[in-house]
Amino acid sequence: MEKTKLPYDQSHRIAPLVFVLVVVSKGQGSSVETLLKKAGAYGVYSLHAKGTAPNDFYAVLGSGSLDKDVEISVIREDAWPGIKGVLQDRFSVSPLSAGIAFTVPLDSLAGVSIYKMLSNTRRFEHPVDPKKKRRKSRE
Amino acid sequence: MNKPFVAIISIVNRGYTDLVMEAAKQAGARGGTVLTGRGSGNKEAEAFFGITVTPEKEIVLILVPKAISDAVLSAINEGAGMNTKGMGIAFALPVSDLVGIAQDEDEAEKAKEVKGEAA
Repeated sequence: MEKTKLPYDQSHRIAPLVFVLVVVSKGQGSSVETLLKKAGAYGVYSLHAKGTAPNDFYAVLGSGSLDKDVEISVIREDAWPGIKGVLQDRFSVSPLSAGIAFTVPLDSLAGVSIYKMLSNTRRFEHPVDPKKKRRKSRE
Repeated sequence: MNKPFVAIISIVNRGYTDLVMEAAKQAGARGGTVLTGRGSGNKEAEAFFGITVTPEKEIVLILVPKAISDAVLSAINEGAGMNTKGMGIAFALPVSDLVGIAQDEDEAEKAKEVKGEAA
């Protein structure tokens, strides 16, 4: 009797994904990138942008620079609360470290491999790292 | 998230982001972020209609409360839409959660009080 292969979404638990966009002042993008990657983002894309808000704070300082770093990524929805907490703390330190971050729910995507990549299944569904296992066995 | 927000994305010809921001601010938006991009218009349509679609684009990202999103979108369409030099398009994406905007005046006051107590 032939075994019928179940579709991926029936044989695995599918974690909802969200698109994350973080806007911070220029120069602070790399630390946000590190944060997102630590939280499980497979890839983070950095863009340069300019803010348009009439910022009294900058006007007082005489600095007209409103250059921003924008970090975009796709992460698992369950990873967001942790990231949100860290960002909230970071944004409240001073007006210079202020920023905006938001998530947009992903409706659908094409291909199981793309889902696996974006949801970082290698990290989340196989918590035991094969390299670490090898190291342990050597010890 | 107490108050639902939406992210309004507007794509306009380079140099016309002011039209978008002016229109959006008149409708109640506070600020935005401008990214640069490059359009990939239909060359055949350009040749057929005898028009040139400027490839250099700017993308304006504006976060607004959902309550005013329709007003902001229609203001952008009027001020920087296809009938203007900006030749812009705009659309709104649902925001499921956000950090960095005081969503509510009471909430902002509470946050200040908590900070004051902690200090």
